[in-house]
Amino acid sequence: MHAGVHEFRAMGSPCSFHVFHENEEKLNKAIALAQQEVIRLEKKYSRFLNDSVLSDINNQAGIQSVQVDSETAGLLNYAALCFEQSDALFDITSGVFRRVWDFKSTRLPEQSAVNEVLQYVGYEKINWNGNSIFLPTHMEIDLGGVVKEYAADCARQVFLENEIHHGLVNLGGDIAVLGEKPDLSPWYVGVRNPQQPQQAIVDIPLTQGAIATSGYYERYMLVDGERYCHIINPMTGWPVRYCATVSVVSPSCLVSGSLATIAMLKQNEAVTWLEEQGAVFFLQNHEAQHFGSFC
Amino acid sequence: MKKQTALSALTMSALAIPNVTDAAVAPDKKTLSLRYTQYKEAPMPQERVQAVSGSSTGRYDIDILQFRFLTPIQNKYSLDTSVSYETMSGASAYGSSVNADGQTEVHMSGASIEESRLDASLQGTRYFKEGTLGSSVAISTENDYESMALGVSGSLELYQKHTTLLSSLSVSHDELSPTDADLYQGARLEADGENKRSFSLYQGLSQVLDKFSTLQIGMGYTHLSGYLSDPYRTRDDRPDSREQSTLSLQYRYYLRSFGGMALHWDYRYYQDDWGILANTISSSVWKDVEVSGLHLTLAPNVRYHWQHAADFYSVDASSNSELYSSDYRLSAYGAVSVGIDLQYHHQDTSFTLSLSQYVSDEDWGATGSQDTETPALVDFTTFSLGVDYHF
Repeated sequence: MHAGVHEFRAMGSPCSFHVFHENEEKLNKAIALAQQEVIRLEKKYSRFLNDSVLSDINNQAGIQSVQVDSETAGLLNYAALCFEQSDALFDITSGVFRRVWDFKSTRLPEQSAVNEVLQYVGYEKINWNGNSIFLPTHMEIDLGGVVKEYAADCARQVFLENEIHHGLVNLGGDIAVLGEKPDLSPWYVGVRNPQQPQQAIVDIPLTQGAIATSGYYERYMLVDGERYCHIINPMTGWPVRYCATVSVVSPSCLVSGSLATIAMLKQNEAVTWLEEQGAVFFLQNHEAQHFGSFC
Repeated sequence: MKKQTALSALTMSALAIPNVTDAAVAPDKKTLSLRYTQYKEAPMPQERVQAVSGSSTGRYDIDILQFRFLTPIQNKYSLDTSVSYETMSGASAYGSSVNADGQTEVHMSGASIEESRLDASLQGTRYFKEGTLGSSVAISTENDYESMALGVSGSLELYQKHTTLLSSLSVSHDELSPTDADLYQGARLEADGENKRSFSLYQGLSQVLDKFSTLQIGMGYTHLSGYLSDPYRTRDDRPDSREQSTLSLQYRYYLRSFGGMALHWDYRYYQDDWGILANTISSSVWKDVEVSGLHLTLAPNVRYHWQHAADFYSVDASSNSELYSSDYRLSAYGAVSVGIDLQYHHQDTSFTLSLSQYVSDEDWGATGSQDTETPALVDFTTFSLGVDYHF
C-alpha cells in the first residue's frame, strides 16, 4: 500500500491530502485531479478574482440579474436554506461588514458606520429565483462560508471516483474522510484548544463522514482585553460571543461547516439548538465549559 | 409532527448540489402558470372582399386562456399538465377568385363564426444522471374536430454536459366532422368522418461552444396522411399525403458589453413535397433593466418568413386541374413580425407581457415570387399577459 501525503495552499489556507492505494501511479493521478477540483472551485467562487462567477454576480449589483450554472444554483439554494434554518443568522450577504470591521487594527468601528453597512445586509433583500440572482446596489454575496467545505466534499468525491478508499482531505481544518486508515483504524481529528491553538483539547475518531470547526480564535482582535471575532451577527453588525469553538460531525463537510457556523451565531442558544438538530458536536464556550458528544 | 431538523434539511440540500459532472436536474419547485392571449386579425381591404351577405371585412379574433401546472415528484420525475381554452369569432375566407376588373378578391363567410376549442396535455419526465426521458399525451377537441397525439422524447448529456443529444417522436390522429355538412353538402359532407394522421421525428444536437455561446442544430421530418384539404373552402383539393422536412439552427450568445445582454438568433429551413420551400429568420435581445426601482427583463424581437407557393396553389377558380387550393398559407409571400416581451420578477412570482404585430405581403418573398396574387393574406396583432408562481 502506497501512502501519498500531498500539501498545498488553496482558499487562503494550508491544505493536505492523506491517501492510500496499492498503485502509486493511480494514487498520484487521483491527487492531481483532486487538487485540480479544489483549485477549480477556488477560482470559480473567489472574491479576489474579477472573472469568477462570484465577482460576476457582485459586479452586477444594482444593474441586472445574473443567470447562474446549475452548480452555483445548488449552492445558492443551499445558502437560502441555511438562512431559513438559522432564523436569518447565516447570511451570505454579511461579507460587507468587512468594510467596517478590520481585525488587523485594534480599533472598534463607530456605531454609525456599522449602521451604515447594516442596510446592505439581509439575504431577504436579494432576488434569487432558482436561475438568476439580482443584488440591490452596494450589496454583495460571499460564499466563503460554504465553498471550502463544499470543496472538501468534492475532492473526496474525486478520490472515491478514482477508487481511493483510505484517506482524508483537509482543507484548512475542514476535513472529509474517504474511509478508515489502511490498517482499518480510525483517523483521530484533533480539535484545537481555543486558548492554545497549537494544542488539541479533544481527539475525535472518524472512519467516514466529515468534520468542520468554527472558532473565535481563527481571526479576531483584542480591544481593552475583550475579544472581537470575525463571525458577525447580521442583525446587530457586532461579533458574536459565547462559543469559543464548535466542531460538528456529519456525512457532509458542507453541512458540518454550516451547522458549526450557525451554532456560533446562535451564541448562548447554540447547545440547545445543536441538540435539537440531533447533531454530533463538540462545543467549548467562553467559560471553557465543554458540551456535546465527545466530553 | 416533529419539525425537520436543520441537519437533515441541509444534508438533503447539500446532496442536491450538482457538481459540474452531474447532469439534468429535475425542477425542485412547483410552478403554476396562467396566461391570457388575444389574437386579432386586421380587416381586409374593402375593395378586395366579396362577402356573401352584409359586407364584413373583419376576420378572426381568438381569445386563449392557458393554465399550466408543473410539479416535481421525488426529485427524479416531473409532471407537466396544461389545459387551454380558445374561443374564436369572426369570418374566414372560403375562397378567392378574379373579379371583372381582373383583380383577385376574397370570398368571406358573411356570417360570423363562433367556435371554441379545448386542448389538454400531460407530459411526464424522468431525470437520469446522463439525461432525461419523457412521454406525453395531448388531446384537442372542438365541435368539428377531434385530435389525439402521443409522444416520447429524450435527451442525453455528453462530455461534461457540453454536448446534449435530443430526440423525439410523436404520432397524432385527427378526426373531422364539419359543421352544417347536411346543409352545405359537397366537401363538408365528404369530409365528415374522415381523418388525418401524422408521424414526426426530431433529432437535435446542442453544443456549448464556450462560456458565452451555445448552438443547437436540429433536423425534423413529418409525414402527414389522410384528408388534408379544407372542407370549408368552396373548392380545395390537396394531395392525401405530405412529407415535410426541416433544418433548424439556434444560436445563443451572451454579450458582456453594454452591461450584458443575451442575443438569440434562430433560422429554420422548411421543405415539403407539395412544392413549398420556406425560410424563417428570427432574432431577439434579452436585457435586464431597472426602471424606477423595478427590475425588468425586456426582450424585443423580430422575425422574417418567406416561402414559395405549393405547386397547385391558384386563385383561378375555373382551373380544371386535379389538385387546387387558394388557401393563402400555401401561396408565395413574405411576412415580418416585430414584438416585445416584458418580464417582471417579484420574489416567487413573475409576470410576462408580450405584444407583437405581424404583417405579410405577396411581394415580400425574397426568392421564388410568382405572378399569382394572394389577396387573403392576413395581418394580425397578438397581446399576451401571463403570471407564473413558483412554490
